[in-house]
Parts: sequence; C-alpha cells; structure tokens
Amino acid sequence: MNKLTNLITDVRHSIHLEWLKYKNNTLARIIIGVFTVAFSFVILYGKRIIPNVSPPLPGLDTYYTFPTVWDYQGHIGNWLVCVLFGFLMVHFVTGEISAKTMRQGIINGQTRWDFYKAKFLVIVSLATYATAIYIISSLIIGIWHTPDMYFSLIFDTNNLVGRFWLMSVGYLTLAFLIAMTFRTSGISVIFYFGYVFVIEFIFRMIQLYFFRNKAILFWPENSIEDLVPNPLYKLPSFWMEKEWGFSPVLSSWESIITSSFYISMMLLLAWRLFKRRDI
Amino acid sequence: MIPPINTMTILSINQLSKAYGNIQAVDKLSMIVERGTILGILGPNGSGKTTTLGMILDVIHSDSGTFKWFNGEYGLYHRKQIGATLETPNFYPYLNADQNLEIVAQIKGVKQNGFDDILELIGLKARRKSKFKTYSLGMKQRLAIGATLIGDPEVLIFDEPTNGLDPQGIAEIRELLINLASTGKTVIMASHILDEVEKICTHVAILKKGKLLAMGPVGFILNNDRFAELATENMMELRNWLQSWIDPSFIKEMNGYLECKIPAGYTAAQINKLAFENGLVLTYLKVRSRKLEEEFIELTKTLAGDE
Repeated sequence: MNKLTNLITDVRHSIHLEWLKYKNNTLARIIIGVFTVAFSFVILYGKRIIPNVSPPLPGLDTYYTFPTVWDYQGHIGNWLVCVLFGFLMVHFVTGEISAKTMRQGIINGQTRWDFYKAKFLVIVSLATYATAIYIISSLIIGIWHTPDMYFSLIFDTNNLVGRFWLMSVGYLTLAFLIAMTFRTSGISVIFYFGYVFVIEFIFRMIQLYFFRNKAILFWPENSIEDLVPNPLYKLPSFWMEKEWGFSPVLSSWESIITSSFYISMMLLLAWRLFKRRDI
Repeated sequence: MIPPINTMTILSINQLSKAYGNIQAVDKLSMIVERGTILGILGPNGSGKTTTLGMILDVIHSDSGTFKWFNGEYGLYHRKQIGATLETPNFYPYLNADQNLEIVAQIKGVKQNGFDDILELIGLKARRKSKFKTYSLGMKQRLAIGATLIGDPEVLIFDEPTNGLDPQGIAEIRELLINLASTGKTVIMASHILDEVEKICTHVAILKKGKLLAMGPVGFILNNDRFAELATENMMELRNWLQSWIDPSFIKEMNGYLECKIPAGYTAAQINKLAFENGLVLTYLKVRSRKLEEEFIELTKTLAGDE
C-alpha cells in the first residue's frame, strides 16, 4: 500500500513538473489546439467537398455513422498524432536539450531516471489526451449521424480505442527516441518525418523486391500505423491477399504485439542512450 | 593521498579522471571540501574546472575515480541539497522569473511561498513577470544565482559567475557572492578571474591541464613576498637606486611606476625614508603583499616546467 501511495505521489509530482514547464509554451498550445479542432472537423469538412461515390467504394454515410465512424476517425487521428504530436514531442525534448534545462534539471536534483520517467509520462499524457479526443469526437459525430442507434452498435469498436492509444504511444516514443538520439531540433524533425514517411517505406520496398512475404509488414512504423489502419484498405487488401498470398495490413493482434515490442525496445534504447551520455 | 573524511566533510573527490579523446580534461583529481569553506577553483580556460564541476554534479560521467557528497547522507538525492549553476544560466526562455523559479522549487521538492525574498536579493523583483528570453546577460546570471538559493541548500556552486558581464554587472554579482559567502554556506566557485577569487574565497584550488597543482587556504597559497610600487619625477635615478639595493631581476617597469620585490621586514615608511636619504622624493609609493594572480602565474609556470 505504501509503495502504491509513493508511486502515485511520484507520478503526480512528475506530471505537475511537466505541466509547469509546458503550460505556457505557445507552440504546444497551438499544436494541441489545432489537433483538437482538426480531429473534430476534418471528417465533417470532407462531407462538404467529397461527392458521394458509387459501390464498391463505401458510401459517405459510413464515414459518420456507427460503428465505422471509429475506423475513419481513427485513421484521421493516426495522421494527426503522427504529424502534430510527433513534432510536439520532438520539440519538447530537443527544447530541453538546446536550452540546457535538461542539464539544469539534473543539477537541481532530478535523477536521470526522474527526467526520463517524466518524459514517458508526457508521452502517456499526450496519447491519453489524443485518445480522449478520438472517443469524444467519434461519439459526437456518430450520434449526430446514425439514425438507429443501440448500445452495442455504438461501442462496436473492435478494440480500436485501445489500439489508438497504443498507436499514439508508438509515434510519440519514436519521436522521443529520435530526439534523444540526434538532440538538435532540425535534424530530429527531419529524421522523424523522413523515417515515418520515406526511409522505412524505401526499406520495405527493397525488401518486397527481393522477398515477397509478410515480413515486410513487421517494420516499426508500419506496425504502429497498422494499429489503426486506413479503413479504405479493406477493399484492395482482399485482392492483394489473393495476389500476394498475404494481407497488406497486419491483423490487430499482430500489430498490437509487434508495436508493443518496438515501443519497449525504443524506450529501452532511449534510456540506455540517456543514461550513458554526458548532458 | 587524500586526508580521512570527517563529519565536517561536504565533498570528497578521489582520483577523478575524464578524457575527451586524446585530451585529458581531468587527471586523477583528489580533494576534500570542508563545511563552511569558500573554495575558488582557479585555472586557465581548458584546465578542467567545468568538467570537474560537471562530474560532481552528475551531468558528466567520469572515466575513473569517485566522489561523495555529504558522506553519502542523502543518497541519490544529494543534489537537492546543492544550489548550482554550470557555465550558462539555463532556464525556459518562454517563462518568466517566477515560473522558472517554481520549476526549480518543484524539482527540489520545496514548498515555497512565493519568491519575493530571492527576487529582492538578486534585484529582479521589478522584472519578475518578464520572460527569461528578454533578460540581459547580467539579469540571467542573477536569476541563476537566485535559483541556487531555493530550498536554502547547504552548498552553492558557481561556474564563472561573472562571465560575459560588463564591469557594473561584475561588481553587482561580486557583491551578491560576497553577501552569500558571509552566510556561512559552503561555496565552490570556478573562475579564471583571480581577483574575484581572492576577494571572495577562503580557500583556493589551482588546476592546470586537469591536474591539481595546489590547494589550501588563500593565505597558505600566497607566499610572504612583499612588493613595492614606486614612482618619482626622475625614474632613471629611482631605477639606479633600486638596482643598488635589490636584485635587478626583481624590478619591473610598469605603466608610470616601478614594481619590485622588497626584502622582508621593510615598511612603506622605511622605504620612503631610505629613498629620501638617497636624494629621491617619491611621488607614489605602495607596499603590498603578493597577489593571487602573481602566485597563480608563478605556480602554473613552475609546475608546467616540471612536466
């Protein structure tokens, strides 16, 4: 019981410290504001600009109604977390390094573990915030558009909420590791976006060229992305599975297990780097 | 061999070393700092002062050797009993003085009811709501010194606290440090400005190329040599007279006066009388002890020659 109380006090202390650091950070306010607004309105804006399509593509209604609203909102969140919160995480960490406030924090009495733990709590907090916005926006949009609702239809999420949270932790951990590795904001941002959008894709294509098997799906970014995959993939994946002999998207459990493994490895690597380096 | 640790020991360093590639920044450094000491760590740029402080503050890993704060009394959290600045003042640029100090208090686990006293002491009360990035270098240094006082730590560490400041800023910081030193805290200050250390510190440690050349009370480090600064209307005659009295190698031509090492026991009155008896009316006469700067240059020159 005492240990649990100490743990709770410790977590509260760390979160309060990070709150004091970032509550007046203008860039953080802007990014979180844009994230919140964009999450709620991007899909609704799409309704105005995209004309209704004919089968076999899904009709526009599926974007806004239960249970598929969870898929489409999740996919929008996938992009927003990756781009906005990933960038924010890099900014938080490299900002501490360039202003030498990380070093001063240690001098003032934090242990390296305290600092690392506090940043992990930032990851968890941002992921939890993103998931909360995902739940709230999906519920509002779904309730607004679904004509006949019943409890099991609304919450037919196929573990998407949990997977969305894990996906957010995954992107943020990747950003954290890259920022801890490169330490300067410019290089870290370039490498983060370069890795997420270009580098891993190139490696996967090279692998695909030589070995056409399911192994191409088990790369870090891809396994994180496949936690909440693009719902429009469901159609082509049927044909691709026939052609290639495997689906182009990991199953939910495959992505949960693989991304959890990568997240653990990235956290471990970031800790080892931080522990060994002079700051 | 370092002396045995006693209850008055605040910091004990034993054979601490650190190299950056081929450069040996700190080389088997050992020292003991007693409670209440105001220690000046002296050394030219690159002598290992900041690296030493970085190691004892846990931001730089040592290659070998050990150090212990407070005889290990506070375990992992010994730094909460220390207020320190290293190199530059490091704060969140988008936060003001109050907000930055609140973060320091939170890290130290100190319940502080406002920072009025500290801001008053460092003269930043009027600018407490301005963002750190808008401060001048002097104000940033003062805020850094103020932050070290949070939680009333037993030990204060300052690394080149007057670096980059204008003469007025240097005077302000020096006065602030003298006030802090008079409170009975243990202070460790790295500097290459010897005059600053001489005015503030009770003890000095002299480093060169990462090696400890000498350590002890300021009076112990300074030897008993005494110097006279003299001027008269006819400087040629003054030089001739001095050369007939003391070793010419001890006479130095300065800007508008001559400086010489004088034999032990001579007072200003005796020198003045002696000059007058030799037909010289002195227009300027000052007798002083050896300066720390002269001692430092002498020590580093001698010991560097030994290497």
